[in-house]
Amino acid sequence: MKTIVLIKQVPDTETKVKVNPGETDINREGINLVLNPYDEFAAEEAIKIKEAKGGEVVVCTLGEKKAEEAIRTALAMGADRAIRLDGEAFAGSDNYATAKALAKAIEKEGDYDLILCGKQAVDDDSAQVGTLVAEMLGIPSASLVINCEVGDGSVTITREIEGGNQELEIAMPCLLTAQKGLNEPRYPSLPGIMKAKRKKLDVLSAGDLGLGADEAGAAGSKTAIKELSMPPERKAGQVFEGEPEEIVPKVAQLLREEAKVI
Amino acid sequence: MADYKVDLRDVKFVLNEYLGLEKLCEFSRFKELDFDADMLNDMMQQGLKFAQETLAPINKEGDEAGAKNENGQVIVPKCYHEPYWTYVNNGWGATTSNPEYGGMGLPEIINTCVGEFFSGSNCSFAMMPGLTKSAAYVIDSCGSDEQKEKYLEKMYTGVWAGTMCLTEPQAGSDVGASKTMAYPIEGKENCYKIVGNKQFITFGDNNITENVIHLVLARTPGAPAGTRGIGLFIVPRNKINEDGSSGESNDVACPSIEHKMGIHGSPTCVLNFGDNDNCEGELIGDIYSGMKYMFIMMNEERLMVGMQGMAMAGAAYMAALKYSQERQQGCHITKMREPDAPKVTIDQHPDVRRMLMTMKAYTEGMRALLYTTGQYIDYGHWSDDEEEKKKYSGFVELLTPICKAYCSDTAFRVTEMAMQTHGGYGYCSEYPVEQYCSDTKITSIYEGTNAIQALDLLGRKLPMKGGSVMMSFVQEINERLGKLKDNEATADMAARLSDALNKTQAVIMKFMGLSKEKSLQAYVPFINACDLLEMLGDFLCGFFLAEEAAIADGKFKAICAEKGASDDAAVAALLKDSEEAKFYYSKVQTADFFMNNLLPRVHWKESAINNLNTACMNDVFPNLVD
Repeated sequence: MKTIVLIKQVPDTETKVKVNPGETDINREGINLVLNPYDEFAAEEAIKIKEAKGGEVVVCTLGEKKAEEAIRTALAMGADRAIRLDGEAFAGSDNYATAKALAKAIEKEGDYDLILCGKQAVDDDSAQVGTLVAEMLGIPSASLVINCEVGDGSVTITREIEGGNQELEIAMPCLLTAQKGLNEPRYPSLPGIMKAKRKKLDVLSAGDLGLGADEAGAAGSKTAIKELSMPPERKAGQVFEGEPEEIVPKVAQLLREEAKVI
Repeated sequence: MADYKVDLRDVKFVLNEYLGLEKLCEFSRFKELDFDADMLNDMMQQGLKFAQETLAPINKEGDEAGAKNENGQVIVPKCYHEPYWTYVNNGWGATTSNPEYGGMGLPEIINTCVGEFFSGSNCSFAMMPGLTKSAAYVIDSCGSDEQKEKYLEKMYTGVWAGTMCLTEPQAGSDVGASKTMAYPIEGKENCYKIVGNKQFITFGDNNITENVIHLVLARTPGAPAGTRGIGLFIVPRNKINEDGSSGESNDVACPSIEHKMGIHGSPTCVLNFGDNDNCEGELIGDIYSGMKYMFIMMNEERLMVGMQGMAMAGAAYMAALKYSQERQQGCHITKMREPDAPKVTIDQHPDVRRMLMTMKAYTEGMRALLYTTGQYIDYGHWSDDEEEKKKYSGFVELLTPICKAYCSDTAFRVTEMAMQTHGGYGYCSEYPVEQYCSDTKITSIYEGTNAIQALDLLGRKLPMKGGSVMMSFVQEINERLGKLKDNEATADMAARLSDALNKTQAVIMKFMGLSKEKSLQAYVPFINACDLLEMLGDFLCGFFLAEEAAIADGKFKAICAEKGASDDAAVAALLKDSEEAKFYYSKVQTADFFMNNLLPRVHWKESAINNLNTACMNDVFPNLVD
């Protein structure tokens, strides 16, 4: 049983995000980066499946050298080896181009039974890459998975849907995106962190994946970020003091004339 | 209010930019274990994650539940149980321990760093595995091979806990007055019947681990009086079976636990050994070297206690900072006469800013002092150069009482200031500073009161090896001060520090002379020993902050140059824009604040000590006891 886990390195959820005017990325200076919390659920599930069924867990990410910190976290949890996609050609990849690169890497890796990833990355919250990868590979997928039982040639999963849960049996190979509740991700142990260093990590370029110049990075993307901006600051509220008879008409007037809600 | 905040940027700065981990990783010990700086940073990050996600949420819960004693059974807060196993199963209970017996073999500096996170997020919890690790280390260092085989792996993996049993009702600071006895058992080599009572034993029992291994100071019949006649014994709560498993009771009872001001989750036990004449212990090493062996553990614990203080001070400072940025109260000081002036958050008020900066400066100074000492321990243990080993081991001995006493005293004042910053809410248990403050107080008392630390510094550490350790330390500091003087950004700081160091040294010289006095003035060194220790602590805080400032200033200027910030307006804009620039700038400002506002305490103390006043030694106190 081979499971591939797709991961992303993201700013720590406590980060106070700053956007510099005119730029298309957040200000990344001094930000603490971590493994995307939803990807931790995916990695944990893959490792649990390996512990129960045997086989191997391969972690894959598209990211700069710095992203190896997130890879090492997954390896320290118990994944067996990793693939990192890097190079100038990938710069400016949107969800589509990222999914394409990951799908190519997965095809190159081959021979997989299951692909797991977080339901979304907590930085851009777009929740697209996992499902796109499945479409590109032509395999079935299910999102928001909260339970997963691997059977013979198929997985039985429970996924969250509006107002309830849905149970499905899906033929493998397939792709699942992990929702909170799927499991309790383990902490990497100290021996795990030490072992992570000796695990294999392949770095592949767009060329290694056979991606043409117009298929990767900004050129291979369907969308481009034009501008990022912070939400407007909320104005301070107004407090009315006095007897109800006096202030109610004032409030009603302002609701009608300024707020235009009545 | 369960979150634990630590200034991670400062932690990373100290580890990677100020001290650096690369040199350590070059030592053959750590090369063999294949450590590198990235890996050590990963460990630091994972330690923090565990502290924030698992230990912090149970800090208040454990405090409220408190440890209990129910019919002689010590009950540790239920919320500690599962996290304890996660902690030890992930290796945190054996960070620096011997890899031959299942330890992780990490450098001390990483243990120091994660120790900050564990103690800062949950001081009571962190104590049990911390003591176990140190107790096992004593067996590792001084025990027989058989004892190592028998105890180490189970202690390093946390299956068994460990304690240190020194204090008795009549033997607190005066350990030599202990009465616990060890009677040789005929026909059983190295085996003794233990009879006596100990008290104030931290985690003296628990209902988590299968066994508890006590290290007990006791004297054999006919042993010399005082500390020269004490042996150290391994006394398990449950006897160890032939096959190494835990067996029947070893006649160690915990009749009661103390009710305390803080650290409620940690059971502070009275322990009775051999009430039924059935308690057996094994002697460690030489029969009269117990104090020497126990000092291995005490020195580790003293550094840990200093760290507990610093860690909670750091957490309290962060809590106060956050609160001050949220809490609106009053208008800006310049608009006091305008009735309609908008309200501002309290971090805008100058007095609050003074408190915040004071807490920041002390916290960062203490962090640098403790992490540096951690690094010195690594150099002392593992350097491949024998001279270097000797030098740094000496520095660690010298710095240990300062780390313990200065950091615990200062930390309590920082937590108190954090409470003050919160106003009335800080005194309420709804906010975390109340617990930080009450948990921190014990750190100046246990593990040798701070007065004992001051006497250790004065009577043992300063004169150690004919004063040569202190001289070599001062020489190194002076060389480094010379470099700070050559740097425009730190020249003024270095001048102030040199002055403070000279004054401190003059006080030491004066004390040496006074000890020969026949008058009451012979007491002056003892009346003021704590002041001398604080002078050294304040000096060292300032010194480390200045060295950090020198690095930070260089990096700040490099960012300014890179971003073309050449005038005040551009720099102000850069500080708003760039977290990195702001961090480095704040390091320099913090050092500047310390030199101007806090370092002068050294001068004040020096002038007070030089008055040689002995009024407190005269017959001045009303007698309240018949």
